[in-house]
Amino acid sequence: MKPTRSLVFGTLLCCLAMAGWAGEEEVVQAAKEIARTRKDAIVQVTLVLQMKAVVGGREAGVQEHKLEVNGTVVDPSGLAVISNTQTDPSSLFAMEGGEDNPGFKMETNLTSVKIVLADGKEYPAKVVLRDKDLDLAFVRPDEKGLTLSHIELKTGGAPPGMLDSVITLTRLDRTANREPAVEIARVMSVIRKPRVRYVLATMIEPGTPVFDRSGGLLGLALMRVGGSRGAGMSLMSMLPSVLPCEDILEVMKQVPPPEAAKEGKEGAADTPKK
Amino acid sequence: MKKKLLAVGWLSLAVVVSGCVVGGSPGASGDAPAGTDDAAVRHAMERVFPALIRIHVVAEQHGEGRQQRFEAAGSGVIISPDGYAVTNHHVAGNARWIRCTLANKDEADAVLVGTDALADIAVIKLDPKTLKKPVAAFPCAAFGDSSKLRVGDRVLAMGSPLALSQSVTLGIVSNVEMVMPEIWWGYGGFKLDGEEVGTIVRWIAHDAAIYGGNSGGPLSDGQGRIVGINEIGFGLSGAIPGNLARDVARHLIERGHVPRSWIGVEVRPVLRSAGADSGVLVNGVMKGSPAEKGGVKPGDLILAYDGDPVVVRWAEELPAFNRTVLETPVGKTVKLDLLRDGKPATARVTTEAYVVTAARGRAREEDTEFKEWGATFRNISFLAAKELRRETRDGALVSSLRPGGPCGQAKPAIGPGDIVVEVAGKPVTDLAALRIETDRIAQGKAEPVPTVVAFARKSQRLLTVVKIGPSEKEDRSPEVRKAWFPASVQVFTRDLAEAMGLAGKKGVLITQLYPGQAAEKAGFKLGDILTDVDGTQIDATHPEDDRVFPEMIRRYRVGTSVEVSVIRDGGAERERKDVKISIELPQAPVPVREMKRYKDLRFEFTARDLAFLDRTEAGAGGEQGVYVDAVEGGSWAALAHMAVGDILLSVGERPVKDAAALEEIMKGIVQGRPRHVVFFVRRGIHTMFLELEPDWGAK
Repeated sequence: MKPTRSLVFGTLLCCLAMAGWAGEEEVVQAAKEIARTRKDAIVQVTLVLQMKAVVGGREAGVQEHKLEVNGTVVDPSGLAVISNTQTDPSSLFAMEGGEDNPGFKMETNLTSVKIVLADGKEYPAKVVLRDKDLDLAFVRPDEKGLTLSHIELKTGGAPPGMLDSVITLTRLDRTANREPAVEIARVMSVIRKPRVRYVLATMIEPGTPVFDRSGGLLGLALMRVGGSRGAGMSLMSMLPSVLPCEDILEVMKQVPPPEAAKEGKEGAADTPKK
Repeated sequence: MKKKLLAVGWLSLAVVVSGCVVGGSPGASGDAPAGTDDAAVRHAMERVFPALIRIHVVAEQHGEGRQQRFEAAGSGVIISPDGYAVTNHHVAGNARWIRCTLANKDEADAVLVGTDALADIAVIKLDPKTLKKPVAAFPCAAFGDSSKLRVGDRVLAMGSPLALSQSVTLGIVSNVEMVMPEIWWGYGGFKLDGEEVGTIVRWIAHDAAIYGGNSGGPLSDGQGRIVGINEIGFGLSGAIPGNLARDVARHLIERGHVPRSWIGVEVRPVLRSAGADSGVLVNGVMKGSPAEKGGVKPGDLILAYDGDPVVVRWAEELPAFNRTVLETPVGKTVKLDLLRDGKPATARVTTEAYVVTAARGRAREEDTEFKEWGATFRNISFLAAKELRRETRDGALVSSLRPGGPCGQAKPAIGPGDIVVEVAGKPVTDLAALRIETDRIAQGKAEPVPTVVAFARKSQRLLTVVKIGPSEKEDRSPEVRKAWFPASVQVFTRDLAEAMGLAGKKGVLITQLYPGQAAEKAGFKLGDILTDVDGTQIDATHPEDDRVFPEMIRRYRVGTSVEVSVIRDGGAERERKDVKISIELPQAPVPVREMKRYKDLRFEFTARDLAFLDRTEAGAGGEQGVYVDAVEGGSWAALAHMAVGDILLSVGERPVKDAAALEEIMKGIVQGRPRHVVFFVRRGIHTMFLELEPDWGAK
């Protein structure tokens, strides 16, 4: 008896469905594996910010805020990456009148930084490098000789395309016992200029890692910063997007080594490099 | 023998304050000559004018958690040949440094001898050794009898209005018993350092014009005698009566303060509804006061005080009664004849000393800055303890707070009006105890020390943790070095584009090329219009788009070669060229926030190393120096007129190479404590010397 066309078609559809289901299942398994093996590299970083209004070079008013944000530990010494705008909110709204405007400006002073692990253990830390444009802030614990779980930044993975699945990993706050949270999301858009960034169809926590469907690290979720003051702020410009590992690694080359970070590096040579 | 000495002493003082024996003004010889008005005015002026001084002070006030200094100017008059001069308390009472300019333009330093906020009178003493042309005796003026003044009498007001050179105005007496009207009582009257000046002062109102700077200057009668000390102006001018000023000055010279008595009653004129035409009504009796102990009650009518009848029907009659009480010898028991509920009564009251801070002549204690706490504190005076309903005067009262300082950042925060009573388990009875505990906890520490502090707020006793000690360091974490286009640009606006025949073109215009940098070497020129980078349009048409181009460049990696489309010679259509220029983007210079800074805690200014843009845009060029980043208001640096944006080139003889060198120089200055400190600065295209005479005694 010859198989009918509809039977062939139906079988084909079932195979495709099963393949799709198998593909989704693969992502789910990858997500579970990520949550199991990588969760310890996701930390909380508590920040105490003093936001000062400075008028004519003189302090005119101070408010203090305490925040707890997500960060990703990227090397065994405990060097972690968080979103720079969370350490310096004034930079996001471009309230400065210029870098050294004696008229009026808002200044943010970080008076306390602590890396907090899932078990609640705290490590006093400092911000050792910032990149305002890429929204990166590198935080290093003060304590030497630490070995913390980390996620190694690597390049060379296959970049996702639009609607491809990706896996996000974050950590809930202390009201939820700082439990890890994992989600499967889709790439909503790929920004190509001037650098590649992936916009996801979900709200992701800045400072947290995003993985491709096979579990390879794509990059970190960070805020998109930039655009002129006159352009105004749109909802899209406020959405976090994924900055690839390659760009983060490039900036990481400028992170001062632990000894220099402890002394507080200031006043580097004034000559611009060519 | 002792009484004779005292008598001689009193006689000498009487001569000093009421007349000049030596050094009177030339030509002064008694009553005014008969004749023209002009001659009479000139005669009066010549007797007082040579003794007139312009007073320049650096005074202190406390606010926002800091001791702040400010400059002020007023007037005064020399009343003795050895240099005692009278002025207002509000001119010199809080002064840390005083310099007087005499009528002959010479200058002399002076010190505060004593001050009395209640009468708003202060006495200073000029130092003849500091004159450029020393004299054997200062020219001085004599007091007249202010009680003999009548409405319509001619008077001269002398002083230095607006800190200008000494001047004279002419007027008449408008009122010899001016008081603060009842309508002003609700606005707190006229208080100086906690003292209500209207309590004992009935001003001589006159219409000789006075302005800011006239305060403390003499009001002279037609005979050239001091009949008042000018103090206030609100339409009419007001002078403190000369007799009161003379008496207060006498006490200040002899004792350094004015001894006064206190019985603890608050009084007012008799009520209209009472129908009485004598006595003074007791409004209130302070708890624990001599009046309370003597049995005086609110509602009593005091008909006689120590045997003298009392009549206070109007506000104008109150100051005289108040003076009677205040001038009673301390410790004397006086009999009060009262009318209580329509029946006669008596009370015996033993007076006590008026204020605890008698030496400083104020009802309110002095403020002291505690940097480690980010606040100013004061001891709790007797009156303050009553007002705060405290059983004792123990504790340190917070008078002001620095925003963001340790007290303000504690949880709960300690604020103005709170009283610190315990620090780290140790009781705090006064500021001396607070200083001991603060030094024990914080001295020598590099970081602030969390300390448990107990403080009182109204009737509560609260606990908090204050991080006492040096201020928290500022976060100066470095920024990533980014690609940079080494030129200044402006937005090529739509208006410019249309005016230059380039309608529709967007981009930026080069306004300055940094010499020797990559943009100049790549061939860019001043006036070039940049329209795109690597084929991406520079989307800038409004002035607000000034960050579009720099942000585009920063997104490139350092060392990336980019191609920029340029319209050259855009102003002249025939010569216009479209070119493409490649440039390898260099790394941006060190940002300003990362430059090494020095914060001077004594002079209260901050300076940093010169940044790249300081040298190019601020015109610092190749010179060495530091950029003044911040100057605290009321600081020594502010008094020297240092300003944000100054390039500090040298301090004294020593050039300032950078922030580290400045720190060393300033350490040496603090150790050496020179009388003068001179800063040499560049301000724009000008250079100038800023001279300062710090009071090294003050912290």
